[in-house]
Amino acid sequence: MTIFLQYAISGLMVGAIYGLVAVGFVIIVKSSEVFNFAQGELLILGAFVCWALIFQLKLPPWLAVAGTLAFAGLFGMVVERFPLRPMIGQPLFAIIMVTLAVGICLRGFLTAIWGGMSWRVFKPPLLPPEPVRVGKLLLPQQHIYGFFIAVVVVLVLSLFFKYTRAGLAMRIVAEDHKVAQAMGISVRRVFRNSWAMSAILAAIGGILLGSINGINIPLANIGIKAIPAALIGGLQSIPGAVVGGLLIGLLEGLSSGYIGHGVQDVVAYIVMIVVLIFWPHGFFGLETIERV
Amino acid sequence: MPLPSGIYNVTYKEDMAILRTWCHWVWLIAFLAFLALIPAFATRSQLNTLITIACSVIAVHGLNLLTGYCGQISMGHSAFVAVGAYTSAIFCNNLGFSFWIAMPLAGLSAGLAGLVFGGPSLRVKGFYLAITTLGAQFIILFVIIHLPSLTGGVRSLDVPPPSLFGYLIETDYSYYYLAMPMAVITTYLVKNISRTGVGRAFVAIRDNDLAAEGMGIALFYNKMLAFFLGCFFAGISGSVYAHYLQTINIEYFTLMDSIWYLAMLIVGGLGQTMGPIFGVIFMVVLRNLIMETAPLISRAVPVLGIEFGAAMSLVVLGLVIMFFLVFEPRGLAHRWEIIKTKFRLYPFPY
Repeated sequence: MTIFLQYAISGLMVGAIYGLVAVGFVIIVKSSEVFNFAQGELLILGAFVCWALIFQLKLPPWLAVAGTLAFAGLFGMVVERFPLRPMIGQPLFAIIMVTLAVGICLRGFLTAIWGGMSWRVFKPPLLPPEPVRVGKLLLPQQHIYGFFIAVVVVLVLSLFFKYTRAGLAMRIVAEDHKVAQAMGISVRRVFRNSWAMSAILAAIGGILLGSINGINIPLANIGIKAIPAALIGGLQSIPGAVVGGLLIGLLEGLSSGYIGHGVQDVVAYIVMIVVLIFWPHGFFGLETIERV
Repeated sequence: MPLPSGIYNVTYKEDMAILRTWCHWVWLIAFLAFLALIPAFATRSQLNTLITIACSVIAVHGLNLLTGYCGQISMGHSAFVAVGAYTSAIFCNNLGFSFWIAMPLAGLSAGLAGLVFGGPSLRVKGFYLAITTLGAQFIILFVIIHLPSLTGGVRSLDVPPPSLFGYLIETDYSYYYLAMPMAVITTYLVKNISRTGVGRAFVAIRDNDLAAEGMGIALFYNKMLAFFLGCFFAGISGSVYAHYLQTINIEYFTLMDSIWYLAMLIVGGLGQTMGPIFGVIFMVVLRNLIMETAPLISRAVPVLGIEFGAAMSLVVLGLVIMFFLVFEPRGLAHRWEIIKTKFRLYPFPY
């Protein structure tokens, strides 16, 4: 039982970070119907920039994190402006491939600047590394901080969507572009904001994962796991994305513990395929009825 | 297809003909003769490039049927190529089959794998299906890595060269005469599949699947057929390429290779038979160019570091995909049609 709890809890803690990145994915889908395949690369971009600010420019950690988030936000806006805006009204395939291409380019630049396969480790770490004991369980403190930061960010986001004008504007754009424009809301600005927010969420996830595991280019593949998380939860639902992320984290923790190391890389996709066959819109997604 | 002035189609047969005028026949025969004569003057590395092109053309034709004609986005195509390559290698190594039996079996097994991962297309489509095929990429490679007794796991697996009437086809020179005819036959098959009822059903499904179903097209059957055919050609391509390289490794079939296949399709043009040919030639030549120039550049400018080549190929790949999607979304095949039409109608504007 202790072992089970140990695997389950450490899985859930990583799952919270997946959920965070998946929320970023869902925000863009909701406002602009764009499926952002560059989410994984945005994640490592945040991790690399934060690492470089701390260990190459020797900035204090809080300033480095703030700088990283600001940079990520700006970068999201740039991506929205250049390759994505000309694609409005293009078929799904073209939009998917453009975001994929953005991700590949980004991966190339990051490889050129910081090197591909070599690990970059946060040393000294941002979060205290010593594990804590809760009863019989041994919990890595970094994971606990990561979990709580992810939970706090998602809570703040849900309050933002509920109470601020910008959040309400984003929700109405997600509902209907024309209605939003009739209400005097700039759809373009909302697209820009949602890309910035999504990039910031990816960067937070990147900093957390990077400070726990170290950074290298294949970490981007972990960022891609946010997409199955978002699909399991349903693409239109922010709580769904969190649930999907937690579920994938939990299953990864259990499967790598009980079945063997390496399974955790595919379990997300297997679960996703099974879920999609029985719930084609995910658990909390919007069921669309199509007419010809 | 605009015809030269003075030529009119008066029967259905004439309208559907691929080769309509004697001029078409002359060009086709001249082109095939040129293909057959290339080894007489090409160098070994040029032949190597041409064989790579031929193998990729087979795979991208499959992807074109699946994604270009039927509109089912596949992001795991190189995994299906891997299924073909490993099946062929296992049949030849462990069971002692000859290449000529193993190759169709490789195609079949890749097609069956395609059916497994195409199954969700009954319920999901568009973006959801793209992610399912992305899952196929990871799951298939995972299975291959974790069956080391059959596939060698992460180590390389040796593949015997094919033989015909006791003659071993192992040099670039002789293998060219195996790979290139395969590419030509595949092109012919795909061209004809796209003109039959099946091909028209695929196009109808791509344009609007609900409308297609309303017109009496069996949606699931045709989607599965598209998955089977697309992955069948991927398997054939994998088999032909594996027996050429004589050694295969899991490293040859990564997600990045799947994206290269998609990029070849986009550059060439989706849903056109000429598309894969132009796209593959463009991308393979581009990739070779990068591989040759990157070491020179990184030697001239040492600041760029040792991983500059890998980085440059990624950046160029991304930029090419973006450029073509924004400025030439119908690909090189469309540009080729425009040029041909201009030439054919000259001196009249239309």
